[in-house]
Amino acid sequence: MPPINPLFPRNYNTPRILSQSQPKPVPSEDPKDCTFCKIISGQLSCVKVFENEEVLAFLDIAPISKGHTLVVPKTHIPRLTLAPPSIMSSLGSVLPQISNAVIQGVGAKDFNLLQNNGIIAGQVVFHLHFHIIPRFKNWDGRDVGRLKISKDESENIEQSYPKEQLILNTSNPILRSNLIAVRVTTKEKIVDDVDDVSQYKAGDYEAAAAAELKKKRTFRKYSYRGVDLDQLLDLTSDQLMDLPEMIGHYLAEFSISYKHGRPVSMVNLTFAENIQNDNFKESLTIKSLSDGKLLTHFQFNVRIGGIEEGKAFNHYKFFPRAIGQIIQSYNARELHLTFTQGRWNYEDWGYPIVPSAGIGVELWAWLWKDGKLDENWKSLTNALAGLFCASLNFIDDTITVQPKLSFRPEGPYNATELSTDAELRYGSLPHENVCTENLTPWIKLLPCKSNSGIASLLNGHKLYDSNFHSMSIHVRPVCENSECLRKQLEIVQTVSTVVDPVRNSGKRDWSLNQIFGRSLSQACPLAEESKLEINLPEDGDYKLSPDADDVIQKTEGDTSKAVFYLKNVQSKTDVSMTWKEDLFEYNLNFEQPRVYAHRFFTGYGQERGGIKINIFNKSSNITVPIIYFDVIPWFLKLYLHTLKVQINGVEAQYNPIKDLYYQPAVDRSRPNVIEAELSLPPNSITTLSINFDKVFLKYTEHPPDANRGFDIGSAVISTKVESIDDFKYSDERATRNCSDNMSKTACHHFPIRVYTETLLVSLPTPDFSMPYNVITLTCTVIALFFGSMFNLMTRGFIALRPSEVNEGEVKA
Amino acid sequence: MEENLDKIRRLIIASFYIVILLGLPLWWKTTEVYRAQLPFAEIEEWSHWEAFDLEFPTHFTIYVANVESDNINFANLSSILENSIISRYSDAKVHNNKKSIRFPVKVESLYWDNWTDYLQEGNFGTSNSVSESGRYVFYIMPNTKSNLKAKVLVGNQRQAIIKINHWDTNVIEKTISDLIISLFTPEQISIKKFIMGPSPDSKVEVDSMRTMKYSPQYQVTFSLMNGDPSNLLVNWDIEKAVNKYLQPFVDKISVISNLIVDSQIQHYARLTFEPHHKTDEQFFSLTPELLPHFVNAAEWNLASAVSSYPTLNFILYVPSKEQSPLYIQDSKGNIMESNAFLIPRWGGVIINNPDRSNSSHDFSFEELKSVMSIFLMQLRGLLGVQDVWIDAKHALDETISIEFVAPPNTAVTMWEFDSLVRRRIAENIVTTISTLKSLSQLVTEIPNMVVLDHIQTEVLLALDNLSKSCASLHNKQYGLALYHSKKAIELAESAFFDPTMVSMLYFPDEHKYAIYMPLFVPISVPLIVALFREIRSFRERRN
Repeated sequence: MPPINPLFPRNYNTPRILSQSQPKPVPSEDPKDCTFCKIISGQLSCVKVFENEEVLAFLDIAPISKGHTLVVPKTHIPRLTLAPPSIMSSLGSVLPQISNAVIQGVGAKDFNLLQNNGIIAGQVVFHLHFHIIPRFKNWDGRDVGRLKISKDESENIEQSYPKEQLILNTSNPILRSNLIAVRVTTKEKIVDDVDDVSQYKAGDYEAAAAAELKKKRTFRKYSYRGVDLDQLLDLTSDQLMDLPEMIGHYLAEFSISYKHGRPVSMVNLTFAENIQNDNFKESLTIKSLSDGKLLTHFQFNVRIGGIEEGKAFNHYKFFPRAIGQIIQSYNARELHLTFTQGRWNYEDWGYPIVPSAGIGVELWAWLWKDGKLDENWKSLTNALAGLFCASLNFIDDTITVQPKLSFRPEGPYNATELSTDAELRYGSLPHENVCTENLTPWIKLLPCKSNSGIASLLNGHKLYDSNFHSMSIHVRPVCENSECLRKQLEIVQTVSTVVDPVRNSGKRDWSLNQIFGRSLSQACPLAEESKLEINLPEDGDYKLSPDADDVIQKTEGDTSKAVFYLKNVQSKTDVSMTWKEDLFEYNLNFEQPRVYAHRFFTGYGQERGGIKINIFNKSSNITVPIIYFDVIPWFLKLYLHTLKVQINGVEAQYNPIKDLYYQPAVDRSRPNVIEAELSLPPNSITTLSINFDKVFLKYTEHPPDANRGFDIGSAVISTKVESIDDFKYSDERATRNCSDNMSKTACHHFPIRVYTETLLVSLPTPDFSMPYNVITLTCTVIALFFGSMFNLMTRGFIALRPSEVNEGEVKA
Repeated sequence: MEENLDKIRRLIIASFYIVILLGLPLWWKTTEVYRAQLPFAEIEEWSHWEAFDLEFPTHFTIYVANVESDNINFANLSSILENSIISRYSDAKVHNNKKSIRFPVKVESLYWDNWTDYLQEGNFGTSNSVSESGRYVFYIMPNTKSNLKAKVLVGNQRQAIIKINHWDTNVIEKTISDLIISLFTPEQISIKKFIMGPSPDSKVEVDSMRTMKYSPQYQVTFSLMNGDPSNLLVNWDIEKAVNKYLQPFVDKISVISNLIVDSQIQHYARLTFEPHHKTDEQFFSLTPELLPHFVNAAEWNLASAVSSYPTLNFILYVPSKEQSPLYIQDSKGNIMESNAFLIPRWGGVIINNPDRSNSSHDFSFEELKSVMSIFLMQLRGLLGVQDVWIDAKHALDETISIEFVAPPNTAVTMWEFDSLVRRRIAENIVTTISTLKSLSQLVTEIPNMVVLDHIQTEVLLALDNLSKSCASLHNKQYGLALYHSKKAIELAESAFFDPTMVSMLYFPDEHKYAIYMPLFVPISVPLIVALFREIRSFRERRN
């Protein structure tokens, strides 16, 4: 064994570089020796791919890959620098066609186009030529030469490692193997012309030269940042240090590609093992309401697949990262947040597509029991407050409740598991004003923001100029298929508005431009489905322009719909609907919704009052079971014994309350909660009433605008889950968690909720300067008392006669 | 009789004054805010560096090849080396009599008998593996080749091999001390800088500006920003890339700081400005002046919604069709090959111009390799991992040629890791002391500030951890020292930023006076008048 330098071993079995010392074969540049000229002139045969007056393309005799093609000009030009523009233009104009033909012919998608000039660059045939090398899937991506050779070479390198190098990871061999792994294709030079030439039997080269070339062919030559990598290996360590910039910069790169003494890229990698089926759908529904108003409902669904409970996901594609972080940090199973402004008019408008329509902000979440659930709820409200610029952080203990019957999860759940593993928290802020500050962060959560797709119609100025506006976020698990073996996490973002075209023109006519101030643009490129649906009224002479892409005929419980697919929209399009009528006439015989409710205060004065709620069942023959849920703040002291139920104005014969949860308030720490299960007889008005006393609040507990009064959040009437079959949303989208391949009965498992009006109660309000007045008055009284008492004690009263006055003065 | 009355009157007035004199302190005490006693004296001691000595001991084991020609003074080698290194350390030291910081060195030299085995078989054996922070092993052997220079190979573990051409004690001593000085001086300079405060040395200044302030946890966010998805859809295999390329680094560095990694794709991420474009060029360019405006913080959802820990952002930016290809130019107008830049204390940005022939581009695992390697380099910089080799190379003279083994897949060599640990310990200790100092200053200066008991506890615990950290350093237990310094800084910061410290007072002092004024003024008038009367009558009687 020869003596080895232990630091810089050189015991490779194979030669490493294109030997500089051996005489180079100098290929002739004489046109007579040109192989390609012979092919062009027909002296040598070839498989022609393409030919015109100036260009010939033929298959390489020693292909690097299947379909390896050479493209040459018919004129003899030794190298690219000598090519006149006319020839280059004719070459350039056919190259794309030929490439396309070649890759289609061999069934490849990608290919390399290579061109070598000069000996050092590896040119062997001195006739300008382009290589088209189709690339297939099994190509390892870093070798422009032959795969087989690179493998051999890498094995050689590995075998040649002395053992101590594996212990100390000594630089040079690793440097070498890593450099091989570095993918800098543009810098790689190959000597692949060799085979092309040697296969031609023209014999222009001497046999010895051809053999030499073949030998050379077994090595690829790499260069990197102008340094020949093979030469790099032979550099002394001192010379190596002259390249610190390069090494330093790619230090990390080397390190990561190096693993277990073998470049990572050598390991056969399989891609796309776990396809994350993230998807995004968006739709806008426009529906004319019976009183001539127009409901617009934007809905954006994003699903993230492959979610396992308890396993964190940190890589977000379409799903908003902010929401994902909140859900995971605070251990939420479901999250529902709605901002609403304006009252939904159930009697005229029917049921809304949005599931929550209570005025102000409503937040409810199912949280996993993890020992710090209440802390999580607090943090959750704070995080959402920050995210949406809303005063959600005011949802504290005095507002938070845990409904027992209402607000069941919207995702699939098992009732027993749910009660042991998770808890519900609900809070609402009826006084919250919703504005563009809330909308802007909401839009930022969308994959396309408001740049394209239907979201581009979201114009804050127009949205808030409406009779009703609701914006929401719902996050919940959904089943991937009907067996529900795998779950997805879905976020549904909705915006609903009710605008009144009749107010402006007296007619129902509308156009997108008129409602939103913008027209329809291209679909969001990320959306799987991007559509505009217009519910077509059943009566009336109207015209929709332009024509819809599709019309879905009326199905059971649903109207016909005209559908526009935004993928088909090329330029800005305005959709409009016009009626042939001079003036809109209110339809007085519209179909009313089955259940709705109104709530109001009774009584007068600052001391006591009552709450009354009328629940209507308009159905002529069906008894509807419902759940009444009401949260009354602690400053109204309810008297449970005054709770009365009347049906159609008379005291009920039997008690219609099947079940009643009542949580009495505790001053300054929790509100009153009434949750009652009732059944509403057909065609009836059920009236619940309860009396309360008003509390005199401490002066610090009043808000700055104390004389405005206090808002009491909406009462919620929800239908029982079991009763869904004969009482459900007429609109399928409202149920929202049905995927296409699920049966409808399996997915309709959350109820309609009907929200009543919010109430405003005025409490006895003090004069806020009073405390200071009282302090001052008290102090003055005490001071007066003190002064007189002090004087009484320290001064004596002496009776003086008038004659003694002068004497006394003289004395003094 | 009149005398008697006067006496009684004086007694009454005196008793009022006695009540007031006794009552005032009581009133003062009962209306005061609660302030737990803080250990001001101890904090003062720490801030003047009287309570402790900071030292970073290192231990070197030197295996000297047992060569037949016995012309080296092996017995004294250790002490010679120690003295030489310590004297050279102190040369570089900035003298400051108050702040004492020491770098004690212990050298142990052993004979290396089977070095010839190593030469032939390349085998160290497993007995010499070093895994303790602050302990390093050098192997010294004669150079077999007639090369003039000494050769040094620094491993990525705590080892180095040194080949000496003149087998002589002086040469060994000089080579080793040169090497140690070159490896450790840059780190010592930066530690000293932490302690002494800012220095005019601009190089170190730049480094510290880039490095994030210490935090026990960082949120690392990788964002793929797509300028315009309508022409090109992008996706990336980031999960795999993170697991493969980043995870070893995250695991390694977790001893110092936890890194929480997540990623996102943002579309329609537009620039706030138009990149430069010359009509004769086929590309768009960003000049160094434009780079500070590159990140569009308002539009690109980069902030974390939950974490209060600092976020490190890494952005892979794909420009829109109208702005591509987009390249970064340096100040001379040359296109930078990496097309990436680092934003100090914020993160890193790479601009990528993918192939636009298809309507979508998936950054594959392979493609992300180069991207992640740049991100990893930037992450190293942001977390304060300093390249040992850059400074060492400059520090050494011509006679020694030095080489460094590339870091393993953790992207950090043990030399760099140890250096980072030592610098972070120093930084934490200094920051803790200055935080406590500011806290005590604040509490002293603002008499209305509430100081609750838990603040006191936290301050005491922080001081306790500080002393434990210093003690561990003294015993070469770097892991323990780091742990305690982390604890100390966390406690000090939580005390300093405690919300109760800044709570609004319901009745600040001014209000207190304002409210009691209507009581005090009318009461004091008759009392003062009575006092004056008494004094006057006393004077009259004396006359």
